[in-house]
Amino acid sequence: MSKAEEEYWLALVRAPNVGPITFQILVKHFKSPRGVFEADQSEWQDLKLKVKLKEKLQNYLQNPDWFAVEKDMQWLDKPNHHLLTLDHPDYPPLLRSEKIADRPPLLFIHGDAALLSSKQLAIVGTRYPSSEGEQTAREFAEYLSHQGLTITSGMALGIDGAAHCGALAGSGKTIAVAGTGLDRIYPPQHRELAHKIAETGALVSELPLGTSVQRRHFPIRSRVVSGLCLGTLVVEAPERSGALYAAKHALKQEREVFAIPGSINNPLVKGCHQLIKKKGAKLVEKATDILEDLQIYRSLTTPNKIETPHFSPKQNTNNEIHPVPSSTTTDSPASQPVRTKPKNNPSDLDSNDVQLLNLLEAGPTSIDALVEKCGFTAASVSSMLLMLELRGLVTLNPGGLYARI
Amino acid sequence: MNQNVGEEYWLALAHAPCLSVRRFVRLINYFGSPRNVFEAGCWEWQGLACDLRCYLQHPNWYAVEKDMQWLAQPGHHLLTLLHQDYPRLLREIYDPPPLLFVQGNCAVLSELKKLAIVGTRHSSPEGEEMAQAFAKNLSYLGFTITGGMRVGIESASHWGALAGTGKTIAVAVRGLDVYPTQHYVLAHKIAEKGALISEFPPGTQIKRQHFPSRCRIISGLSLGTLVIEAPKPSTSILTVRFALEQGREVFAIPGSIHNPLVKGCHHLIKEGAKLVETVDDILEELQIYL
Repeated sequence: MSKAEEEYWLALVRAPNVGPITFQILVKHFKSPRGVFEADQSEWQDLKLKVKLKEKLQNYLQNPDWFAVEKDMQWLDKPNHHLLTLDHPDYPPLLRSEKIADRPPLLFIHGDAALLSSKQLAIVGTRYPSSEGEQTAREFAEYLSHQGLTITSGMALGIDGAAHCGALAGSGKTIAVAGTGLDRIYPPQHRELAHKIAETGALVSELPLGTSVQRRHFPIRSRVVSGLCLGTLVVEAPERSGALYAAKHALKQEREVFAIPGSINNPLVKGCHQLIKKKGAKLVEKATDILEDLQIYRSLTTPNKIETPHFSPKQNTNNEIHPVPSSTTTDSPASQPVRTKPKNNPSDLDSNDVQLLNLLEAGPTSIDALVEKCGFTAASVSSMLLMLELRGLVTLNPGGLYARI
Repeated sequence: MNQNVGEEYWLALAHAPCLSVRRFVRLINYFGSPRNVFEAGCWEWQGLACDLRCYLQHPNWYAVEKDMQWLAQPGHHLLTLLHQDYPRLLREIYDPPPLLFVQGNCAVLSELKKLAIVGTRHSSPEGEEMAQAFAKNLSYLGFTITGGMRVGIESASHWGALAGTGKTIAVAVRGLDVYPTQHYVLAHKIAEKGALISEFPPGTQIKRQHFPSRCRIISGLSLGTLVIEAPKPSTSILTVRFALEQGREVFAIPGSIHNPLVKGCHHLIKEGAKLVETVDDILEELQIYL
């Protein structure tokens, strides 16, 4: 019987022109989705909806897409696939909040459904981050997941992916809110990552199965990301970045917004600075800032030890997940940091030098970090840096940090 | 100079030992002027400390004479607390210096639009570049840049202001007759176009306690204080503390979270300082005063 009830939910969510808000109006008026299908004409007349919409809806209700619903049910029969309806007791309480008028009526879940009710933090950011930003996202995610927070994000390229990777390297509790139906994976580069997330975390989507990639779904998805979470951390976001949607929704939903600052000459953090200046986002330097703010003191580590742990490359290689990660940053041009004013390298440099210079684009970097990122020996890196310094391409800043000139 | 009535008496009182700035001001408020303090006589001095009573009977006229010689030179001025050119904002603070020795352009001091730019002495080239650019742009917008002429960020900001309209004020920690060797050229330039000021009479040597006392003047002169690069325990943070006590705005420029030089800035932003990316952010906040 309960199955049948689910089928009505699934059928109604596929009705044309019925978004989350209309859906809730309908369910409220007719008591349940089944009621919507079984209602008689007089009940429809009391309903306060536009006439045109009503007509369209009634047309659909006469001939609902039972075939698609049948396929949904088949999908749900598979292990680890779940459906949470708005009236389900396991529906995440934070997402059900009154502040979110357009909360999704249905959530398709692949993975651990209980995770949705755990304490979560969203980590979002640009799809084209610098390698430094990616590393920051990964370190924060890993550390915070060890502290008992579930890391939620949108599984996009860049920061989102790095956050998921970090959480997987940590406790493994991470939630990816997809912008498509759960039977497909977008972006395709993250196929492997999605499988990993489904194993230890959860993939979530409000969109019915079979929904393809559509531009308009991504901003809408952001409200679920922020709605599930206690707070949203923006790692790197240029002005007018899509990542700022999540922050916008978080503010609307009265959740905390955190942002990581950067140099004022770095265009990739303009959005973060805007959030701090104009929207009252909290500036975050280390992961403990977030824990303190959310008042989560799960581990009793001494304060000095709560520094964000340094990311060791070993962990990265042991984990087989890297669809995005930094080890590939140097060879794939897509993940190179985006700069407004790329600096021209002299043409007579060899490829290793160029690689080193590109790594330095992210900002002043210590020699250890460079060795870690580029994979050469410390000796060769230091001699290369010396040559570059003599040529006037890099400079040694106080604190042993090398920077591009 | 008719503004400074009884300059000698002001100077004589300034040379008094164990006389704090607050006591100085209270004495003047009670007696009306320094001259009256000296002329009041033993009967009136009864409430004063023993040291001070002795000094009032035998003031150090020799030191005053030397000060007067210094003041007689061109471009040297003395601003007393009651002088009309005495910076208005500075007069409002809790402990305004009763005397300001000025070398350079007195008019710069009386202008309202002043902004302090402070920062670490161990700055990065990027930070210095920023300081210079901000100072230059702000000076073109009519701001006078104040600072302590320290190495690093502060001297960069003075140079920036000099490259702009040239209106800049450097607050010294010692008497103005001694130039800091490190900044000989800079000090000269500032004296030419802007002003070098000190609350200490010529000939005063550097003492440790002069540094915090200078910080209060830097922030007190200015509508706001902009911090560029400050690792946490830093003198620039002290300037900020004074700025907050004096009810002035505080601005800070952020940086990468991996950069130890901006830890102090981030701390300030978390505590409520305004994050600054461009000059417009400063103008926006100071709009009401302009």
